[in-house]
Amino acid sequence: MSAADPLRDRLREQPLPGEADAAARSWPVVEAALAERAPAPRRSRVTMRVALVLALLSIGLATALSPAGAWIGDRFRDEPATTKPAFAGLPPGGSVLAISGSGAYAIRPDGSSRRLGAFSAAGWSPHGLHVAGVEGRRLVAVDAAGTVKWTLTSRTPVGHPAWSTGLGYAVAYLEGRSLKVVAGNGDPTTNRVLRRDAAPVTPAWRPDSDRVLTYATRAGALATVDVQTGHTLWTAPGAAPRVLAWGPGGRRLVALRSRSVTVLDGSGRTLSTISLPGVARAFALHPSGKRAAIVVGRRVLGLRLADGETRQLFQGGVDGIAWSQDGRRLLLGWGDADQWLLLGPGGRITALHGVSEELGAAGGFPHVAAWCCAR
Amino acid sequence: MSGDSPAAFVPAASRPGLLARAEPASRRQERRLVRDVQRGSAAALEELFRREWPRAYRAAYLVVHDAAAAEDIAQEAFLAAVRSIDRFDRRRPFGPWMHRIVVNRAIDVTRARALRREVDAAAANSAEAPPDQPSSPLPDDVVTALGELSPEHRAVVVLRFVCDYTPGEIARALDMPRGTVNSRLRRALDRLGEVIER
Repeated sequence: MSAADPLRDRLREQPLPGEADAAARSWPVVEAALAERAPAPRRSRVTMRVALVLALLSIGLATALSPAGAWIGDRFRDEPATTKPAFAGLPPGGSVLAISGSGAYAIRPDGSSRRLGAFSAAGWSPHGLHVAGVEGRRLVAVDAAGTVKWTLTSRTPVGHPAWSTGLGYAVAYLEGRSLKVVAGNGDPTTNRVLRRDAAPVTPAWRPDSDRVLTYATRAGALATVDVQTGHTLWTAPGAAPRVLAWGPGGRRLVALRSRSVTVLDGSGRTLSTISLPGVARAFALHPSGKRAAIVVGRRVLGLRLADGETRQLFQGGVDGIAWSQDGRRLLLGWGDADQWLLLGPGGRITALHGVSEELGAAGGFPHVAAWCCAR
Repeated sequence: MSGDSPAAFVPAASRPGLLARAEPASRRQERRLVRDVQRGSAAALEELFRREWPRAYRAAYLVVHDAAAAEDIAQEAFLAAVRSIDRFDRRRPFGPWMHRIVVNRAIDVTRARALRREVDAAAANSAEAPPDQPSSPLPDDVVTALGELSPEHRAVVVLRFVCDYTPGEIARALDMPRGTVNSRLRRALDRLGEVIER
């Protein structure tokens, strides 16, 4: 027996780590890819050609010879072209929240869209059943169909709403310099000021929490508070952040600053600061918490947080980015081309054309705000 | 289909013959499955996935020696296959086409990692973030010894002994002279044979 036989056996039979789990995780993704593609036509080319010739002959004869020919001709001329909605290319697994000049919209995976309100900013509730939006001095909660659930009116304009990530018991928002919190059912008696030194940055709830909230202070620091007790859990100094995002399990907090990304642990200790090759314009933390997508100038970069390695994902004037819940796709709003782009595994790009028109061109290009949860 | 439990996809790589090269009857069945997938059949795709996943994952793992990367590579290969299935010529065997994608991608990933390790080593003193936990090493000596070969050597071994390619087919798949394939196989066998005989 040569050495090749036992080698073959051992290479084929050695149990490998993660093999079964990997198969279980990958099958739904592969199955979804099949569902996304249109099936190939069943009939052979010859059959198709014969059918096409016969159909054309029939139409021609009917139009030329029959008294009803004119009617048939009119039918063909008047039939409206059937087009798929611009958003029909979205994959299954959650709805996208988009904001344009005419308000906020929920885009469903089937491509249908629903206007939620004239919101300038909005955020999903933890399971994607509701949206908290701001409209001037009003904080509004609507369901995914746009039905208003409650409204809270303040004295001055409000902004930066963030629904808590646990059971959805609280909504944080900013009113001027005040960080405020109200119960998720909109009960006005629960509406209160938590802090009076908030910078205009959307606060970030710790994952799966209705209590722990991180916000940016006017002094440029980060502060994490317990909204029930009002106690400050920790503060961290640093230059003013623009975006705050907690990683899964609350193990990491990522703060996007103008030209850098700071990674902190769950207690506010800075782990690393990664310089960016330009001014950051948008940021989306990957669901794994290990990497992020950042718009820097006219480039979209993938950033690995462990070592700061970046790679270019896309070049173009991108306005708004969001990861799918499974982390396999990145949605980009490419305003220059009036398209949304889906960057999939292997760098595959799917374009959704004519998105402004789909939501009413008067509102302008719809900004990708968030992509929420499969239900 | 979607309701299947994950356990339904537990591969049984150690079953005799599972990784053996497709026989003629099996080839006919494979052609039927590919045709049905081209028509949009999820059941046919599921069957094809069950048949090919174990070898795709194994081939990727044995080249990259990392479970997460192997999963990505095998999954990307399946996604690429699904997306281009309409253009697939059914007269050609599906498995080798898939393995070629897997192994070439695995070589690319391994090379890129090697390059990154050089950069990381240079920047190690300034790095503050802890690196990701490495995959735990396998207890099997042959697999560990395989990891000590270059990615190109590993790919040749995997295509020969896991995917059952002939040296000529390996040469075409990896775009290298047949003599190089033979010499790499010989060297790999010498090295791995020492481990087996221990």
